[in-house]
Amino acid sequence: MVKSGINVRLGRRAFLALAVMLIAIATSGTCAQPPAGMEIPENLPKLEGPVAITTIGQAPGAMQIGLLLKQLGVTNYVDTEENPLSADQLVGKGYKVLILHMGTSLKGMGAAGVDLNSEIARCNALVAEARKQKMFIIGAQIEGLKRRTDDSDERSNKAVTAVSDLLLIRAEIDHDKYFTNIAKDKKIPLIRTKEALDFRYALAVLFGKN
Amino acid sequence: MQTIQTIIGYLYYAIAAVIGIVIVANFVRSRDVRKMLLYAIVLSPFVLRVLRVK
Amino acid sequence: MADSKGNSLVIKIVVVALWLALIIPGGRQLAAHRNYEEAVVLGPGVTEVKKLSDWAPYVANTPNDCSIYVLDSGVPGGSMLVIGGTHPEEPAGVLSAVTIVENVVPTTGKIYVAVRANRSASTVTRPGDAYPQFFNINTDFGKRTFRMGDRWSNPLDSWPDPEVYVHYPSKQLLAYMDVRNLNRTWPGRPDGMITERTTRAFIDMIKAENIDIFVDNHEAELEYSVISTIVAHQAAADVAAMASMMLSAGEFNMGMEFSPTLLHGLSHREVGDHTDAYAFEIEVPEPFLDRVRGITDEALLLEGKDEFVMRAGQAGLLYEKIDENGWNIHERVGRTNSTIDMIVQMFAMFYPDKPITYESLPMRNDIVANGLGHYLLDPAQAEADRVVYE
Repeated sequence: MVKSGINVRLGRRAFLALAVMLIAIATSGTCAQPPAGMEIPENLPKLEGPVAITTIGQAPGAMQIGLLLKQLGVTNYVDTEENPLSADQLVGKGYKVLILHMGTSLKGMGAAGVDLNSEIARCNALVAEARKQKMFIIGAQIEGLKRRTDDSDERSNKAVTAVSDLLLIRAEIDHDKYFTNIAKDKKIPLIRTKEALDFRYALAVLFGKN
Repeated sequence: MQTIQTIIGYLYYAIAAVIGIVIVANFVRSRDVRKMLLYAIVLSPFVLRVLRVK
Repeated sequence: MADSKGNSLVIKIVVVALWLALIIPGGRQLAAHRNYEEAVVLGPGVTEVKKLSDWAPYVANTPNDCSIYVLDSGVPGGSMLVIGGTHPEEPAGVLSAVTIVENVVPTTGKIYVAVRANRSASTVTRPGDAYPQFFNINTDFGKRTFRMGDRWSNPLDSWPDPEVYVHYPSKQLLAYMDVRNLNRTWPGRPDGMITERTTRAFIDMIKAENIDIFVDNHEAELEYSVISTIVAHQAAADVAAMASMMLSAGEFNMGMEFSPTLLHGLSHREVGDHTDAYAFEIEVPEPFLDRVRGITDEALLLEGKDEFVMRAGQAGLLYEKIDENGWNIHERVGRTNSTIDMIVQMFAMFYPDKPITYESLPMRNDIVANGLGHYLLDPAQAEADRVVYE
């Protein structure tokens, strides 16, 4: 079967390419140069774990960041939909960094059982506790345009950017310079990446794993 | 539960058949061509359902 | 008076003749669609064809006693069940399953495929919405014809619907017609209505065969937010998140969603909750399903080009991009297959003790380059015992 042969070759090639990528991910080291399209500001803070991560709006981005941090060897805790991170969960765990991911669940607020008002109240309570504990707060958005579609996403963005010490986002969601302008106004660093996987490089730089 | 559903299903087919017969009776009694056409159109889904076509 | 009676009789005969002239050809078309035998050729990897009732006798002799294609490598490993045709109006899911059956050769583990998971729903379309009854895929040997279907099981197999559909066992109230929706009736029950029995049969099968990966193929309208995405049960979220990032970085944009814990009846929720399988749903874009679409025909179904959907996109009303190239069936099937493949590879990374490997799965780049038809086999050339009719 000729076409089978073609497919086998393509499959193996794809698999080899994937294997190379996986090896790159699995190792804690990163490339010397930033990935294409990434802008790394100077004078970034040197951060260390453990890290607590949640999404204000219950989108899955928090978990994606958690996976990348895990691969970098940075201890982290990602909350779940059933048990979203609360202020009292920040107490006594020694967290040094709080990552607030922006974006609301696309299954719809009702279907996902998410109420954005309560999510923003949770965000404010988390920030109040994090400040008490002198935690560094990163506002992140790894999922791109899929989480910048409606008013709910904008409210999540607004709530998180207002309290962040650093913004780490996909460049495509900054098409209107919303995040650039906020970073300028607040005089906080902004890291923009082209792809979700590029977050690994940015996180490696921030957590001294490069 | 499956038995109850089956019985209800058959009842609905019987109801559809009865309604179809009533429509046919009205069609036969009718003298107005517009009503005849109306009865014919209304009859269609009942016939298709009873014959298990649609 | 006699003339009047006579005239009336003549008019009635004419009306009946007209009615028969409409209803007989129309009825024949509907019956032909319902009874059409859709060929699936057993590829070199298929080792056995079973029926769903082999695991669940309560679906025997029902329209939903679908074929289950078994691709057994004979080498111990993981196991995967891919189902197409949950919603037969989403043909990429069906065709993805067909390409697996007709091409894939497993080398480790076992793959099960249902091409028509809700066969009943494939025996009815929506004439009122101008749905075509069939669609044809151009192949290297001519056309292969498939049944177009609906979202819900055929009312001829499940009638009447309840006033309110109370989902079992959550008791959640859902829309009445969703008692016929295969993606609202999981985990089902053996004495329920036909669609509930079907999902329960799959649950029994998944448990009996210790399925590790469960994939439910879907398509979505661009007006719907859950599109170009993998929806995953929380147990499978790590695998889906990595698959999403890898695909988006290397091939095409594919997001990820958590399966909502409070919305019941969906495969990714209930298969994950009621079995040990890691449950995923794949959604690729199908402009045919958009309510703002224009002419609804086979061309739209297969080419996915529509100026009205494009205008909706220009107005910022869509959750996925669309341009004059549309979303053709090659792209949609290809993306579905590549996503399945990435899920399998990420699963192997997280759970290396349950490998599933195979050869010859047509991937997105292959299908877009060569056309979907290149990966469909010719039923006329296959040996009779290597052709199954759905």
